[in-house]
Amino acid sequence: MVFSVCVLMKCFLVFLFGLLFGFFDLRYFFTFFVFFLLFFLFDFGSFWFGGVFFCDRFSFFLLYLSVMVFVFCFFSSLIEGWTKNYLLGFNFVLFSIFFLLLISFVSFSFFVFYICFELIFMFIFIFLFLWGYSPERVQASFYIVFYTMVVSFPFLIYIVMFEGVLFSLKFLFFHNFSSYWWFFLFLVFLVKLPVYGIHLWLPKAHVEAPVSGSIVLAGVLLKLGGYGVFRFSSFLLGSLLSYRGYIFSVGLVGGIFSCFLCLRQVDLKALVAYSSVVHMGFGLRGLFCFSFFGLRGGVYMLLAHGFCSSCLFYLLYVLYERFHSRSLFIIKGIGILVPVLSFFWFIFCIFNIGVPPSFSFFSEVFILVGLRGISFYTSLFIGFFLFLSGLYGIFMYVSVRHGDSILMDQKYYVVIREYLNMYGHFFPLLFIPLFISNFYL
Amino acid sequence: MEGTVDSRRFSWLVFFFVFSMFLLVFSGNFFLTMVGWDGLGLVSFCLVIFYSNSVRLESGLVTVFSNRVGDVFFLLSFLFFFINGSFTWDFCSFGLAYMFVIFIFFGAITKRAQVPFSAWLPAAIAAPTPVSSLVHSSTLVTAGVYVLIRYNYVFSFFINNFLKVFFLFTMLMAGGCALVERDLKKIVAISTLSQLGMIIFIISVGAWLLSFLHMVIHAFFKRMLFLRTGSLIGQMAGLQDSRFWGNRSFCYGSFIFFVVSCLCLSGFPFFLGFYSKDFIIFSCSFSLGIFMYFAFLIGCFFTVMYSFRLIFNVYFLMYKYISYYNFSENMKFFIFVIMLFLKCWVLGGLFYWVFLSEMNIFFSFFDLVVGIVLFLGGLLTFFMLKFLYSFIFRFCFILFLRWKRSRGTSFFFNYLGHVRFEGTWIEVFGGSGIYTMIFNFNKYINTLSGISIGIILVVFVLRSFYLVYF
Repeated sequence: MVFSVCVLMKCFLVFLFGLLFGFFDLRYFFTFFVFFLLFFLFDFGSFWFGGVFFCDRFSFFLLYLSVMVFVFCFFSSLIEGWTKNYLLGFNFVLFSIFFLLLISFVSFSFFVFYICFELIFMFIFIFLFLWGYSPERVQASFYIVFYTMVVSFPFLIYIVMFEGVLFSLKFLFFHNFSSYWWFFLFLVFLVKLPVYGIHLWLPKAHVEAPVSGSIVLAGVLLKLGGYGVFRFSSFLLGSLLSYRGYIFSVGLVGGIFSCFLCLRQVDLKALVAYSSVVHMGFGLRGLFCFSFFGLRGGVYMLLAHGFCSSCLFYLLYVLYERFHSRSLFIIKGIGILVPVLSFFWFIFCIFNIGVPPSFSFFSEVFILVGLRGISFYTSLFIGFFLFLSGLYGIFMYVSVRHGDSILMDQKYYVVIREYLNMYGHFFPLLFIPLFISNFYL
Repeated sequence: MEGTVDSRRFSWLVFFFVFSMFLLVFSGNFFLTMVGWDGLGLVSFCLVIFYSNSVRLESGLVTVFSNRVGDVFFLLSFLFFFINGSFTWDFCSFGLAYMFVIFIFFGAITKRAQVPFSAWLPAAIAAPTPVSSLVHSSTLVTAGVYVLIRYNYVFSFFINNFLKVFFLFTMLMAGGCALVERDLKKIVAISTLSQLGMIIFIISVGAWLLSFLHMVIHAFFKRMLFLRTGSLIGQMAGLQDSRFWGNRSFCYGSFIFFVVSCLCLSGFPFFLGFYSKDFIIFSCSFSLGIFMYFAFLIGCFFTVMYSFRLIFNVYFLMYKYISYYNFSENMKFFIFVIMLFLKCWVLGGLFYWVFLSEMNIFFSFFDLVVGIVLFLGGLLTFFMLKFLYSFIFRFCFILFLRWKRSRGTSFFFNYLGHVRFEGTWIEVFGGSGIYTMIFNFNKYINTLSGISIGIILVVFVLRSFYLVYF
């Protein structure tokens, strides 16, 4: 009884919010709202369907994320996808990535997951190669492919070697492989969730990709790495726990380096890409805690980052359409030109940093608490990390908002498609924390 | 005063500011307090950069980064709430209190701009003047003090001499800087800083109720002072440099309110400021050592001195502005100021009755004597200020912590991260290293014979599979 009253109150709060922000029609608000409620109002638990597919709460979250990210992806590339490049298969590539993502999140066996995982990156390669913007996309797409391929061959060998054991994802199955092969199992995912040392493909890919590619990449594909770590970690807990410290150190130090690198970037897309590295390093530290709070903090970080980064890339695209450049020195003066955009920039920059009441704040707190279980004094280093996060977030906002704009003599409007996209990202980030108590994950 | 561009955005920002303060003050759950705390920092940042200007941008960045440091400390104190098991403040046990207190304390210190983190308060005067009057007199800076006062039982063991010296130092330093500053709004902001130092000094002495009273009372007259300063600046067409001010005493409205608020600030008998300040001095007489007590009295001297410096600079010197001059004061704004003025004049007794009479604190003759001595002493010292000016100038300006540019740091880390690691080592083990290796290998193979590299690779892979399996 009390539960349902609380839930109703939360729904009402969300509804009020929608009424307040009357940027557009209530119909659009209801679409997002109802879809959101479908996923987050009820706890479906873990379930099998179709005889072959398995979905648990984490997969469910990521399914929601992938669907939302693809909606935004298609919103953002309406011109490119449906008019210019239709016959060349732009939409086909995007839809197939979507399809493969859905299968990978509900897949039951390692093998199916691996196939989908690798095929997705093949499609991203095609996407980047065919529809990127500049000649450097050749190098970028090759970086993606080779970073993926080099680490996935040992993974394939691993699967083939331990054939009888591994064709199931029953995650309560602990097996002590006392060899060093476990490392190759995780290296695949650590490259995807870019850990600092092997992250080079990410800035290059983001800079060269069109906006849909960036949104998909930052929104969901990095989470595939996290998902893989989550799924496979219960399998190899013993070996992982001994080497956990190295992963933590790489996550922390890499995150701090990437924070400073963010401050020195000239290309705004590379800035957001490095902030992805920072966040994923943080999420990795959370995931490797393997405690109640750490795991959930890592999962929430993946989700929050998905919405935040994909919206930042979309905002950059909105500016790119107007300024025709991604450079820090050219995109300036939004505060005067298009103040609504500066509002959304502000919102997403501060959600990137981790400011309550956004979902990223909760994820950071949970990771902090999870790390306390490992070592109290190390978790205090996160303070330093969080402050640096604040630095680049505010820097990004300020560099875009202030300054002399080069486009002073035209009026710029924000069309409804862009509003919808930005609002659609804003909405889950604000309201998932309210409904997270409905879930046990 | 702000009937100009973008008043809608301004109203929304002020609304969010007040809303964040509301959340901070009225929430029992630490999450909501955190929402309010973070929101305060960010909304004040938005307000400071309200006008797009490079000076204001710099001030805004100083503000938000100092606030971010405080936010980080508060965030880290979440750990202790998790350890404790409950997010409400009521269940803080004393076992966990020690480290927890340190974190909250440091967080609160940044918000109220004490010595290590005091650079942002004078910088934040770049906000529009109504914002300054709201923010820097009453709300933002009292957020940290509020946290300390409300949960003072947790901090009660934290009182020791080291901290008292720290806060006294803030008070003295700020007082000294107010004596030598040129910019009028900055003087008022620095006076807020000094009064805050006093407030926290009182908390660390132990009289948290008195400090709360002083905080509330200070808000009243400081707000009035800011409003009058704002209207004066408006009369001078935005000129804040006090070297151009002088002899404005023909605008009687501003004159009265300004002087009254300065008198309150200095603790003139039976104005509002007297009721808190003299009690504070009284309670300090008997619970501090001699040295600290005299340092505190010197701080109060400074208060009197800079407030009178303010009055003299604005109203009593030779006229220094442009020769042909016409001004008017908008009567609409006078209503608020008159309300504040009446409060300053009349409400002292009310505050005494509500807060202090239950604690059996009475006036004594000693009180009054000390107060009057301070006041007159301050006045006299002010007239002798000319002789001390250069000494104070050098001493205080250097002590005032400026925020240095961080280009050096980011350059260093760029070098470390990008050049040494990313540009070189990670590339060597990653993409371009392997590419170069393969490329050179291919060239080498091709120089050896006519065999294509593909066949060699296939043979190599097959052999390795054979070796692995058998």
